Amino acid sequence: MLWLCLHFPCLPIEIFLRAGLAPDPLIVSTGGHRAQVVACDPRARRAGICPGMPVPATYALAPRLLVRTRDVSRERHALENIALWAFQFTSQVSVLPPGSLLLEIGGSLRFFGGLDALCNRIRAEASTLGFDAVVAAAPTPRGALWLARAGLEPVIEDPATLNHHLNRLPVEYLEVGSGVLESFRRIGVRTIGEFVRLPRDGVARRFGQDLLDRVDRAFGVLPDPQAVFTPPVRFRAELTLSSPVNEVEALLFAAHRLLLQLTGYLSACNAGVTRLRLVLLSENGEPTETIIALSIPGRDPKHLVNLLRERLSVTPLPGRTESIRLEAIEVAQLAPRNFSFFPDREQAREERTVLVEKLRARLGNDAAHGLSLYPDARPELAWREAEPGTRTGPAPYRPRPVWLLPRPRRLDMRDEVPQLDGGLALLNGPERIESGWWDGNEVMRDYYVARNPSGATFWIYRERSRQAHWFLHGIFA
Amino acid sequence: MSSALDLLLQNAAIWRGSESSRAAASAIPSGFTALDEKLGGWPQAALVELIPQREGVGELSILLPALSRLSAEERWIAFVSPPYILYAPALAAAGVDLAKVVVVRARSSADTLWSMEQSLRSGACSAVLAWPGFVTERAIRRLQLAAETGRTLGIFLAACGTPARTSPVPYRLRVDSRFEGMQVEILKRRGGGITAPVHLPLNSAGKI
Repeated sequence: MLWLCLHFPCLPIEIFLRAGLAPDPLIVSTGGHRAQVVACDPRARRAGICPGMPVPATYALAPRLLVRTRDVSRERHALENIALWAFQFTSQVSVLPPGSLLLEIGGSLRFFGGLDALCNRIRAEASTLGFDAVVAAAPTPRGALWLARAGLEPVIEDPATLNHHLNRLPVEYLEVGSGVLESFRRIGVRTIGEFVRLPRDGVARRFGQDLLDRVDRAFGVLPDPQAVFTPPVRFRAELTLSSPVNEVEALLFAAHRLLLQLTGYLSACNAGVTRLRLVLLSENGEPTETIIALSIPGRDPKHLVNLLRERLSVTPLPGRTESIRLEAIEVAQLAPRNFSFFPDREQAREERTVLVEKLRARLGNDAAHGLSLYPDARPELAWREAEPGTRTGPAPYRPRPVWLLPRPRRLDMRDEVPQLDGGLALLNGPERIESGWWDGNEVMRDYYVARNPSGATFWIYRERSRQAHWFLHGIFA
Repeated sequence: MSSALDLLLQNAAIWRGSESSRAAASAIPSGFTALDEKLGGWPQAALVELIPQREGVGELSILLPALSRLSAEERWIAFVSPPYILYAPALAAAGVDLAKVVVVRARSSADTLWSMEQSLRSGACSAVLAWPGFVTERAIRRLQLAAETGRTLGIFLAACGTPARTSPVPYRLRVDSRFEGMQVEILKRRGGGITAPVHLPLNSAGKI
């Protein structure tokens, strides 16, 4: 068992900065009466503001300051979203608010290429998500948690080294109340090591058996099962921008962060998304919704960002956008990749899918389609729109024009001869088509191939009704 | 004396008739020997402009044998913004594999050009046929580059009766009907040269 703890010390302020830098220095305050600074961004820090300072004092240091109240529920939501992303590394993820995640990675090491590689990858990807992570590895979950909360990033694989590191931690990290800490100070216990050396029955009497059990669990003496975080059935993530924006690239920057979370979630479910909904909320509350459909389930963030870029460049936005929300409406299992003997084929198939999805993203979900035949005698119903790449049946043997008019056009007559830039001479026919009595679109026509004096060839028909009008239905291009 | 002549002949503005060469080795047979002799087959990765003199003279039928051959490959054939319904039974009867056909409906001219460029560049299509309306010289250069990148045959069909004008398109053909058949004038081709129009007779079924 090897546990990785991801601690996010700057979570209160990172949730506001995820979508991009704010235009002015930003601080997060506790809010309410006697507000204090909880966290500040680098610009505020340079102006001299630090956590713990009363908020009115900060206005003197930085006149143009953005103040946000600490939003614990949003922090929790963000932490859960990070847990979703972390699912791609292991199936055992526990959420410990405020600001920590526990991952059991003992079984994942070989797949990810070793502990160091995994830790580096996690740190790098977390920072692309917009969060700064302190990553500590230890044989026990609580041990890793305390080390990460202390800001240390050791990589410990055996219990002896764990004991050594834990013993040197100050007692503040024992997760106890200020009263107990005051007692510790009075009896001169400063580090966890000193605490452990105290007689056990005395400690149990004065501070409670819980504290002893907690320390035992951290050192690995007692087992410490963790509650596993279960991912929600549907992926849904939201991000509020620090200031309303209009440019597509700024929106894409924020959307990219959400897409990375989606990728992690999909990796955990071994699935790909087939329908994605993006909702943009403008300043005055108007939502703009757009749905992107993929022809095969996918989860490559680069490809999804490209599709979003194409769609956003043609979506009209009512005003500046304040927040964006991403939902995966339809998710499907990804077929396992078969490495074939002929890699070009796989790549060619992917290229075709990427092309169709790109075209659909920009022109609309029904802008690109394939063709297929349909067994119906009526010419206008003998074909169907289909997904590109659909196999279809055998071809008809009668002459058919390459162009079909969406609606047959009535032809003028002169001396009983149909006219289209001149009198039409009938070359071939009649081909009698009578069909469709069962669904109300009855067709009774005699079709002919005809040519006009200029040499253009057309497909015309005469209705077999009392009026017997002539119509143009196709052009032999 | 000869060196002065050589220097003069090196001027790029001088075109020498003996330099007109046949098309490159990789070309798609058009299916009509008379046309292939003059044209050398449809180019593998270049733009072709087809100008039909009027509708219905066979401007697409002339392409169908080559499209049928191309549809046997893995890659797709894209039709961008066709003016009417592309009738699937006719394509199937000509031997085009419908599983390889993609029809793209773009609403504006800019979207048509964008779709053409994407399809040409992606390399996922063996041929792209488009009806873009008016194409500027700059757009033609971009499309030519895209066709070369994706090794795609790009054909765009101009509006009927468009007068031939100078443009960087490497191949330009005008199609008209004449004497119970089709007449193809090769207005421009790689390698240059002026050739006589090619006459392709029709068979009794009304097809070429």
